[in-house]
Amino acid sequence: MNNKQQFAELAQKLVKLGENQNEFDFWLKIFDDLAEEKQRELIKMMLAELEQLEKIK
Amino acid sequence: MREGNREYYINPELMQMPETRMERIMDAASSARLSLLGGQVVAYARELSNSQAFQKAVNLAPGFGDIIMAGKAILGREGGKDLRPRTRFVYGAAAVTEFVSAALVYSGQYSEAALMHAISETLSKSDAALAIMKSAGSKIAEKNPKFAHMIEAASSFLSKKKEAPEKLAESMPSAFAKLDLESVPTNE
Repeated sequence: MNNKQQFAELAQKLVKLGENQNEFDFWLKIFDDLAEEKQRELIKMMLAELEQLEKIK
Repeated sequence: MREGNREYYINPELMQMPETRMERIMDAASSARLSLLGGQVVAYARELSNSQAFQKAVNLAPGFGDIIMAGKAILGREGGKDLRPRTRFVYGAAAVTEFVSAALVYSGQYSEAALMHAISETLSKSDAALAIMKSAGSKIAEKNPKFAHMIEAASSFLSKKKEAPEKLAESMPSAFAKLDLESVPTNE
């Protein structure tokens, strides 16, 4: 799975938990323009958020 | 809390409703993502112009987004309806890119002090936001297509949310009032 696919999958899960669709639409539009390192940083943040949210769900 | 001879520590986090805890996690995550975006905007923008006035304005951009976020967090309301915390991100993103766009458009035309005044004046007019972003986007399309694309994404959001430019314009004067323009270092 590439970074963009992983981002899209995480975004979908986070939106289901109440995150803002508009924000992830914005990120999706600029995702390809981000450096690989920034893409990974963003995904890492999303994984951490998902983990925290799922714990208290 | 004390019971008999024993003292108990109550973790306030655990006493919150799950919904509140989830909102706090999402707020923190959204703020972190805005910082990431702000850093990216600044990195792109620094390459665009050597003008001292522009560099100084660019250095204000991430803090500016934070101020908008803080303002929205304090107000917590928008158009008479509750503002969901996560909707603040897009306002912050739009504010940062709009601010840099205005700086870019005006940096060659004004002195440093007049540039800040011009940005403040421009951004406090709701109908100017999209025009400024469009102008900046086409100006930098060849020099930095990635940044032009980012500005386009932010202006696309603004054009879909009819009330967004007005809300940004309302926040601009008070946000500027909080900025200490003299203390901002230039990137030299």
